[in-house]
Amino acid sequence: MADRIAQVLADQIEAICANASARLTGRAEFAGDQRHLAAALSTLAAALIDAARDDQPERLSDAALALGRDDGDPCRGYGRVQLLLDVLCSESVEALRRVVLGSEGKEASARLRGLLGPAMLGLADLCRQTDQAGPPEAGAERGS
Amino acid sequence: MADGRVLVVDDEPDHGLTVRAILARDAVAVDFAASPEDALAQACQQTYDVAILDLRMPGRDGLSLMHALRRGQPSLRVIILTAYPSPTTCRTALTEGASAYLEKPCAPEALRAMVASLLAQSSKSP
Repeated sequence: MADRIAQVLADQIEAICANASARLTGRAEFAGDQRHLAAALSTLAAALIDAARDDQPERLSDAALALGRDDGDPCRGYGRVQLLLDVLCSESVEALRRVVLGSEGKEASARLRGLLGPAMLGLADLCRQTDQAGPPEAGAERGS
Repeated sequence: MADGRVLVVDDEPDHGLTVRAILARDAVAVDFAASPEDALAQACQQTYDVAILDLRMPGRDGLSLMHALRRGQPSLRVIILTAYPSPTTCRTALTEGASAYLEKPCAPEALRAMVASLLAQSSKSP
């Protein structure tokens, strides 16, 4: 199953990234930064394929955390990478569903979500730890 | 997916019920509360592994509700949802103890992935 998922994703990687990019292009988080968006999506998609092939969620988590660390503001980085993972997750599951059908398809989707969940929670940990070490700005806004 | 029970709290019932329907695909037990008061009442009757809380609600915001729920259920994992995301509220939510912070409407697959991971964490903790 792991090889099958990785192969399906690899076969459709260009379409997955193109669809994800189209959904994110209008977002303020990536305004004027299309090259960064394309590069980050490509990095995460490649890591997702590696993670799927070897059944190692850490591959994706490491790539997501590296992208998050690259941002000067950990919480802004969290938001940007979180969005990338959200959309990549949706597009990858859709791609899988087109090819892997029935109960096998459900299992494949669940496995894919099993790779993405730890990456998303790891990002939140990164934001929390970095911020507790030294918040970039004072003050807190609540209730939005 | 690991077994567990999830509480969804949102003063917009359409959104809350949509979230419940998304999670129900994984056969997770999901309760819905349309207000913080309703959520606290349900939490007196039921133990939850994960709570998904809207940040902006009348009377009590999602972070305040998170703290109130945890007084009775300290190991509760919390996802904060907001239609008005910002780095500042994200920072506040995470540093105050939320496991994750997501923008509304959240991507169904991402939400399912995150809840599955939190339920797996919960099932491993003592």
